[in-house]
Amino acid sequence: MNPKSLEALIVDRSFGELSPEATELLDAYLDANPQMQELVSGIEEALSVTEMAVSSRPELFREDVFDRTDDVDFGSKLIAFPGATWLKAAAAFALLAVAGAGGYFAGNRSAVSELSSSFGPAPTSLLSSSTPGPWAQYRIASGGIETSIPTPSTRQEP
Amino acid sequence: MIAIKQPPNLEQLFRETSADLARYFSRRHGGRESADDLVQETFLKMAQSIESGKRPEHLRAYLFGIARHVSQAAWRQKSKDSVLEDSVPIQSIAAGDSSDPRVDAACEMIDLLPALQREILDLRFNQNLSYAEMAEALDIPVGTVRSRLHNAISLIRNRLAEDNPDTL
Repeated sequence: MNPKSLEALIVDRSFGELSPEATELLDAYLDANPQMQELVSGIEEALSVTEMAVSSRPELFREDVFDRTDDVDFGSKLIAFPGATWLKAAAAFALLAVAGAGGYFAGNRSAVSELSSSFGPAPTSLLSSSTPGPWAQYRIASGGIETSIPTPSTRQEP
Repeated sequence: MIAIKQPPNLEQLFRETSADLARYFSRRHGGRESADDLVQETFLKMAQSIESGKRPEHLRAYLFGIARHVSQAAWRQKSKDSVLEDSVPIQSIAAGDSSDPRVDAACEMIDLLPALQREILDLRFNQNLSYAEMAEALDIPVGTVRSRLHNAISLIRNRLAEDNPDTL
């Protein structure tokens, strides 16, 4: 068991914050690991000394030491932040990312189309093979590569 | 079945908690002078809150939450009015003068803790509030209460171990 978790459980048990089932499990674990007894007694002593310190020194807890304006508790604010809001923010980012990526690729594709229309026919790999072109077309037939040169009747003027 | 929460019995609550609240205020303000007034103000605010329909889950925790705000407001007002002649400077007290060096070491460590952790220690050891009650009184998640309390205890334990490595 992680020593920090064990320490936390021992403190919880001392404060009576552990369920009976969890207390039983913890006790069984500590019985099986007698070397942990040192840790247990250390924590119990720390708790007892802290209790004495808190009750004997009220001045440590006076209002003027609680300058709360400079004690911004970022950790708790993050934890307290509603989960639904995080989800909404994540969904909005995802939508933005998808929209951005879509726009980027759409822009690239239209750039290719524009290029092809400006500089003549594009390479066959970029154009749909179903579109009849004025150039020699190649197709793979069962017997090998066939070459067909369009006849004047089939040639389409650009 | 719909359970309708009845308004709490304020008289009984006052009987049960007014002494604790007075102690809370006197610790916060360094004397009993204004503690009784602040207790009255806290219960007045509690009554107003209940009258407006609020039904808190943990009455005692809710009361301490109000007390915390009342205490802050009173201190600010006091600071404005500069009526601080009866207050004792903190620095002169934080220095160790206990007969037990372990208590002195713990006090030195507590003195270094942030305000929130000190409040948690105070509510736990002085008012015996549970994690859930402290969370409600301080308006923070229970997990934060637990982690801050564990952290404080761990720091104090390490400090004690440094001072006396054989015992801890």
